Amino acid sequence: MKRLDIEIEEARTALAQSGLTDEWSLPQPVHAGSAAPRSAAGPLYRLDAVQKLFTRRGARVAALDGVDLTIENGEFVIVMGSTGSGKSTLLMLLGALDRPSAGTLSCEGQDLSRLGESGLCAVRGRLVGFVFQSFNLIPTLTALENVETALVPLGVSAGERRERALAALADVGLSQRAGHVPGELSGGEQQRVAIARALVKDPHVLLADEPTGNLDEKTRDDIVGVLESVWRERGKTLIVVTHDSSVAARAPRLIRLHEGRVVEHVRQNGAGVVSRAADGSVVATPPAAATAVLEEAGTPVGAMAP
Amino acid sequence: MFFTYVWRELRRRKRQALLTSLGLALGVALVVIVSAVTTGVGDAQQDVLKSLYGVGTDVTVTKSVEMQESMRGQFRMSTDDVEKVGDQFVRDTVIATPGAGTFLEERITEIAQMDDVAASVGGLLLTNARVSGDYEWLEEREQLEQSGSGFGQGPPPEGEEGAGQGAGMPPIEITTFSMAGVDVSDVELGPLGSVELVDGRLFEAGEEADNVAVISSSYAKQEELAVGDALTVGEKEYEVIGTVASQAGGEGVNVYLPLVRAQKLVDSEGKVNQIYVRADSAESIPAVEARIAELLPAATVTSAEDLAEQVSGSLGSASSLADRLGTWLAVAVLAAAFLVAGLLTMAGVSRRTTEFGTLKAIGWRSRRIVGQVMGESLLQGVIGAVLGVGLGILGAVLVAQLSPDLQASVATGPEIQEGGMVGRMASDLLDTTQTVSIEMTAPVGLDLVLLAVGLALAGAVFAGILGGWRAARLRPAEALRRVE
Ligand SMILES: Nc1ncnc2c1ncn2[C@@H]1O[C@H](COP(=O)(O)OP(=O)(O)OP(=O)(O)O)[C@@H](O)[C@H]1O
Ligand SMILES: [Mg+2]
Repeated sequence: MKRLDIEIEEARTALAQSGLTDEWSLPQPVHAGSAAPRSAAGPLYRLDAVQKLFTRRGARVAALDGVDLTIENGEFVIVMGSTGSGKSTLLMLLGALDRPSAGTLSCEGQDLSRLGESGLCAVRGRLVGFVFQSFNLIPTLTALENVETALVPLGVSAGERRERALAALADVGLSQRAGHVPGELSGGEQQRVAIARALVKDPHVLLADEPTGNLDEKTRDDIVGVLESVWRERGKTLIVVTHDSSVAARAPRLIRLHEGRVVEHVRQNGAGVVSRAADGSVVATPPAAATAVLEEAGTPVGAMAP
Repeated sequence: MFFTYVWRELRRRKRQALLTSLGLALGVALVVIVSAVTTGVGDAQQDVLKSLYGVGTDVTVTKSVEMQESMRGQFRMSTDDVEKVGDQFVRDTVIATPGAGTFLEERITEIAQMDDVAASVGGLLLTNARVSGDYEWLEEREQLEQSGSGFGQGPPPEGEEGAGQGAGMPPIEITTFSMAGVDVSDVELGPLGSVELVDGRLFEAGEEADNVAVISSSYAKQEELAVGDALTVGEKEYEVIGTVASQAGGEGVNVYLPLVRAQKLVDSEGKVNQIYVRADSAESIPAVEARIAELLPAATVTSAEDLAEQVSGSLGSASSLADRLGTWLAVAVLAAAFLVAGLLTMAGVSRRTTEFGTLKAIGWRSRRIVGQVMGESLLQGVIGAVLGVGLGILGAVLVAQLSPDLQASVATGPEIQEGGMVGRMASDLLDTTQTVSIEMTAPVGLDLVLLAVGLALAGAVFAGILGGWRAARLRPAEALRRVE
């Protein structure tokens, strides 16, 4: 995040003049494939004062402590923050793995905080694809079978399952490794299989928790490339937790968490970075790029006029 | 996918899977062996009862009485009524088995006419006592007796017991063989019901009063007799018409005679000391027993079931060993196998929290994951069942092959309370304890195999439930836990 540190004062002045203080309106990314938004009526996720409490050795820990957030269909969002800041917890809630302790969290208009285990399970099975830091492939199953596991809860016939799994493996460039078990694959290959497993059911959103955390630099770029193309070419919503700023630099939107709260919202493109802190202060780097960045992010220019 | 996944998982943790299967197999095998041995011992007991009491005999009626005073007279001996063989004297005496009370033959008819009774015949058990000893000693005794002191009351020559008691051991030897007077009109019922014909034939109707005899093959061997030879009993000659063997190799009656002849031997015309009864059905036996007990309050009414409890010897020990120790061992091993299977399955699930968490995170319902765990467990159970049944059958065969023949004894005579020489002689004579030797078997039937398979599967289901319960409680968020 070195970019954000440059010329902060200058940017702050520029944005103070632009009067940009509200929650930003939600961006519609412009991507090559230009898939139409899935749900015209409203955002993919809407979080309202979401809290997640854990009890650890008798003491209550707020892993998330009042998160307000809206994520549109087709967005690519990076989640950053120091360790223990609640990134994985946020992803867990977005992925319907658990319910918030307080607040509301809706996904495509469904209130996940009110769904039972069975409802959450259906959301997990259909809408969400998950990619994990440790790949989490089933060690006894081949790459192909691992990809097939994602189709099992959807009741897809064995033949179709195989066909779709092979296609998904081909999409991540692993057709020749279909018969290998995870132990025979490199870390990067395993993560590709995991991405194929996440995508084979054609989910609306792909959630990745530090997908490159266990990979070397070169492989990391490979995997980020694969994920990015999923967003860019297939129009999937992509939400990635990462510690790696070089990964973070590739997304138009970034959220920074600290102690369970969103402390910074960033919009960026090749031209510059516009950042808004929790207290409402906005910084643009370079200041001149602010308008262009926000425009590309879909924020109406008019809204920024004084 | 289900089977692939189950099979791959078991192959991955071969050792635990094998341990679980082997544990179940061992428990099941022990159940098979113990049950087979128990069944075998039970069969053996049935065989014993059959051989001792006859196939067709459901109820036996006897009566025990006090030793009659007159019996003492039976053992009085003088140089006049013994045979002299070298410097030994020998005297054969045929007596109705002492201590066994007699019934009038009318009672047989009365019992035969009872409800639920198919047939009833009488029998007379006799004992031939051969007393032999030193001829000179007998002469001395006789002189002493004539001078006032009675037989058996003078000081014993060797004074083994207290002299004051006058009940010492005379230098005489008593050997006995037993005889039975049987109703030739129905040889299926009574003593001949449990024998197998070795040579010749059994009695036929019309031979009621003939001088014919059937002898046991072992007695025939001992006395070097064969069919067609003459046998002397009570100074009368009998033609041996057949030799028989007791079905289970039992050594019971040595000589069978027509009832009328037997009665004549001991001057007991119209009397029997055994009544054999065949009931219409097995269910009616208790009722028949009750009716006979009512008709003959002083009699002892015995059915095969009553006798089962009196069987002693190695058969009795085998029966209680198989029953108690075997059952206990099988249950303990089975319980341990269940526990090991359960614990290993639970541990296996714990080790796979990330795996199952991941599956839940990609939309697998708990039900499916529990099913997977159950499937793995059941497959181990099936392997355990197959191994266990194989092992059990092998074990049962080995036990049957390697174990020595079982000895069974049933005491059927009255108890002798009387002491002294007469008591000793009487108890020798009356030693109707019959011992048979039976080959050990351990049959494994289909029902036992099914029980074994059922038990192995029950163990697997138990383990699967434990593991499944743990798997069901896993949170999908476990998938996010970093494995470092
Ligand atoms: N199951 C749980 N039980 C108790 N506390 C938990 C649990 N899960 C998370 N926490 C706590 O909640 C806080 C946020 O955890 P979270 O895993 O979301 O952090 P993170 O931002 O993903 O950290 P990292 O970068 O190390 O992955 C931490 O203090 C963590 O210890
Ligand atoms: Mg985390």
